[in-house]
Amino acid sequence: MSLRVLQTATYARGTDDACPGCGEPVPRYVRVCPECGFSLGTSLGEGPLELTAPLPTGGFRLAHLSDLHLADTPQGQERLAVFERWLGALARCHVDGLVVTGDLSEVPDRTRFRMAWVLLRDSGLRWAVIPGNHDVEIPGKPGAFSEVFGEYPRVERWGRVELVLLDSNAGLAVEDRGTLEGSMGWLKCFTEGRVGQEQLGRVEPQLREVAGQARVLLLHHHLSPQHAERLVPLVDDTVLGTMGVLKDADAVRCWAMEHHVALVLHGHKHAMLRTGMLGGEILVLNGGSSTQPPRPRARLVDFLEGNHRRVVEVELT
Amino acid sequence: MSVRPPPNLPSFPDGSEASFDRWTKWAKGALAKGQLEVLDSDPMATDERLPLAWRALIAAAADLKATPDSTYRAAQRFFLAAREVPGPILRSAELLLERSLRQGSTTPDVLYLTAAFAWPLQHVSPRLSRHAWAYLIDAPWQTSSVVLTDLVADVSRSSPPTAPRRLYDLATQRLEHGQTESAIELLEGMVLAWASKESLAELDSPQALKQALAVPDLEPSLTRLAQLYAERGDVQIHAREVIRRAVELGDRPELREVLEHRVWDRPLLETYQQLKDATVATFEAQLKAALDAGQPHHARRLAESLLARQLDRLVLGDPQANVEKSLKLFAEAPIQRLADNREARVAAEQLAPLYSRTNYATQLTRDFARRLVMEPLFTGRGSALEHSRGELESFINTNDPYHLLMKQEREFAGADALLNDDERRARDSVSAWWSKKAFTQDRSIAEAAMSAITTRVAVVGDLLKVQDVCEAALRTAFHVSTQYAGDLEALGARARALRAERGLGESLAQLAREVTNLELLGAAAASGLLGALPPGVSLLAGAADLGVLLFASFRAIARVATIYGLDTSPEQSQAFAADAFSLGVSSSGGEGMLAYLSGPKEPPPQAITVGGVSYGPQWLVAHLWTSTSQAPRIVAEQLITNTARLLGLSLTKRQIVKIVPIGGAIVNGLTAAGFIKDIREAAIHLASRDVLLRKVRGASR
Repeated sequence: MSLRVLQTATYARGTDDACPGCGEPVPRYVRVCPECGFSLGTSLGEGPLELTAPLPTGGFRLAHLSDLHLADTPQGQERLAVFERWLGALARCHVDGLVVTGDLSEVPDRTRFRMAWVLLRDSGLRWAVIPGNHDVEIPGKPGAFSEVFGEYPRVERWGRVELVLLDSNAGLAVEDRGTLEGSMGWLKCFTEGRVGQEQLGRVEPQLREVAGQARVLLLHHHLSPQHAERLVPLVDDTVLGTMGVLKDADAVRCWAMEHHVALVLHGHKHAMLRTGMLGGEILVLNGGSSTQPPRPRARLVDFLEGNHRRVVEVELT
Repeated sequence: MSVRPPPNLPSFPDGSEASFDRWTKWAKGALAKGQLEVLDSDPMATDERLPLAWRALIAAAADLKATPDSTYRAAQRFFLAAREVPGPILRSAELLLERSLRQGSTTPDVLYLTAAFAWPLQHVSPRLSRHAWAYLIDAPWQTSSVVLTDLVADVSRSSPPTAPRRLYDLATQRLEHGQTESAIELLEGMVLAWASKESLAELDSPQALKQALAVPDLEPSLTRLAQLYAERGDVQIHAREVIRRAVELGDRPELREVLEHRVWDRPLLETYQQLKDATVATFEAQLKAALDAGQPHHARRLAESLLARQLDRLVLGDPQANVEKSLKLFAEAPIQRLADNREARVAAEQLAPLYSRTNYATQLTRDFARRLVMEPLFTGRGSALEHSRGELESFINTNDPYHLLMKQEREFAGADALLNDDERRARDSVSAWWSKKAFTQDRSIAEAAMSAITTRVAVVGDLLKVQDVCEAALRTAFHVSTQYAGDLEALGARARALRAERGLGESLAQLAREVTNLELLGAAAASGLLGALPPGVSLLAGAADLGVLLFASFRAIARVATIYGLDTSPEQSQAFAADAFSLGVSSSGGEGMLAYLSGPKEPPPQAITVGGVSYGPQWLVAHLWTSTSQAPRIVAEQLITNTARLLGLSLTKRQIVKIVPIGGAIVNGLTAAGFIKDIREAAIHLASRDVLLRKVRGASR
């Protein structure tokens, strides 16, 4: 098995960029200055990439998987097989670290977590995981996930990359759950998320400011609204509140900007949307579901010299 | 422009309802009192409360709360009322958009704000409008076809844009800037919105695009989309219909060439109509083309069409039932009759290996393959399938319900010590039920009920189609399942206690029957009542009746799942419900059971997968004709569509000629109760099998 590169994009320009032709500030991404017609080229730097080639010196490649949803069902077994294929394929393309942004299991199940832990351990990759809403029984309380993978929040350092691992379920008070979750008994799983100030406060002392460091924030829920899915005519999932934005998205976004986060990785909604941008500098990537057939996809983020970050979308073939 | 600290702004929201309520209240108050100093700020001001304030003002003007989730709807409402919004709201939007463009935000709410300045506010803020237009072209939008369809509809409705800012111009400029995928997304959104459709799968006939023809920009847009489809090599029916329309709208030889020579992923009805009077040579040429194009399912449909044409010609409706009858006739026909029918022989020789290669395993296809294996005419020395004999035998054996059930029985057999008395009773009940499902050919009450129900709806022709009714009911039931399931917390607690005390035995089944009796009685009463309505009203009541049945069944399934403590994630719940429906209504030689048992073991190459769940491949593939390479959302829709077809359409079309008169309210009520009972029993035995096997397997590891 191998990985096929679908798309690459390099992000480098800052928010204060002005048109060299007229000096006016211009929107990001635009290729032609809307004021004077000056050709700005592309800020996305799309181009071919050979995954098996090593990164330039000082580069760091981070792989992002999400929403594995392993389960003790035939379907769950298929997803497990896909996860194993990912691990095999990633190990062969100079990945310096792998992160999985939650929903490792369909239900909070110790066996499934252990299985994932063993696979990750044996993959030969450096790895980190965070819990998703499917991994946690009671938000903010210790459970099978923390028994296997440890406590959250915490900070890990991999070379020039500093990972901030958050539990975006932890701050969700029961009374804050949406109407749907509040009223139902059949679906025990909750869907909404909240990081909470207490968790951010606990992380802060662990952060270190090092020159040239890239800080990566990992959480399961979205920081910005995702597109709505139509359920029935005139009703989409925003009405039900099942795929809502992280409840304290604004606070976390601000925290990320204040603390010079370079990259936010999340999952939750199983749609691998295009790369987003927060505050002009922070890349935001939704990993979708990496075990979603027919063609599972994931992203690699290359931290290159300076402020350059290259996002590579890959497909498991 | 001054940059001053914003006065009197609430503290940054911490995510609680109360913190957002403070912002909502602030925005309303600020608008009422005109205290809008926040609008004097620089768009790139560093205080992050400022964009929140602008957002809250826009939301307040749209009568929405200041939560992150309302931003999309607030931006949409701003777009729709852009020309009439008060000055402060316009200024808020200007500031927010300016900031978003400089920061590179590409979320759906920003798309709507950008569109507002690109179109309705084009002459109000010319500079920002130029920036917005450039951004619409080049930004990597994080949007889906759903958002784009909404936007196109809103743009077209509110103020049809004119050159050089037509939607078509936007698509063209995206292409010029190398943004092919986003140009295709936009063009698809345009076609869908103008045709009043929600998904590409709905563009399945020339009629589907009829409504769009009135839109002036349709021709260039459709033509460009068609060219892009042609270049990409798309084979889905929607691509064909778009190309067809483009050819009709203008003389495009290159598109005509694609339209006529590309192997499209056609539905069965179409392949049948196409082969109705074709020669065997034409069939063979088309079959070869389908196989060369890597489309074994299309090749299968071609062979099925030829076989049905020879053995059970279609009079009207969908040929699926004719295909099934042809397979049956073929399996039972005297050998001389088969020898004499060259075309049927050719079709069979092609069809059997295709069933094997696509793992299209049902009782009928197995019997059909067995007949070929047993006849030297087909598989003997020197025959066409001489070298395929082993493959066909393997297909028959690996999908044998006896073997599949035996595998289950073997797992249970050595597990006596692991199960308590109650669980052993449940195991025996499971074995008996599954065996009955596999080997009896009797018509279940569910099928009779479905026939009765569908007849009343179907006889009114196109007014109400049973599949549509089933589909609407299922979609709603699946997506808002919990509302229909009701509060199951107390039941869950009771079941947990029972499981702790008695294990996974018959007590659970008894509890399931006890708690679902209400659904049975309720549906019987409602159904009976609806059946008693006067004739004119009962046509519409038919749809309601079916809805009542499906929802009541769904409630019963939810209760069974809760009692057995099954995985209750939405994805698994839907799959369980779909399996219960499939098994509950299937009685024809245990097709549903075979699909269930053999599916996960050996999924066919193009099984339908929903959120990672490969589900009921045989039944689904039976009706599947759209490409599986579509977006997961569309594939998810297929689960609903196909389950609905299973429930409604196939039975309707098979039973339409056998009208079962509705004898009145009592009969109607009884059949409704019987239907739910069958679904409930399927759910119980499915769940029981699942938990017992899990226990046995867990203990043996």
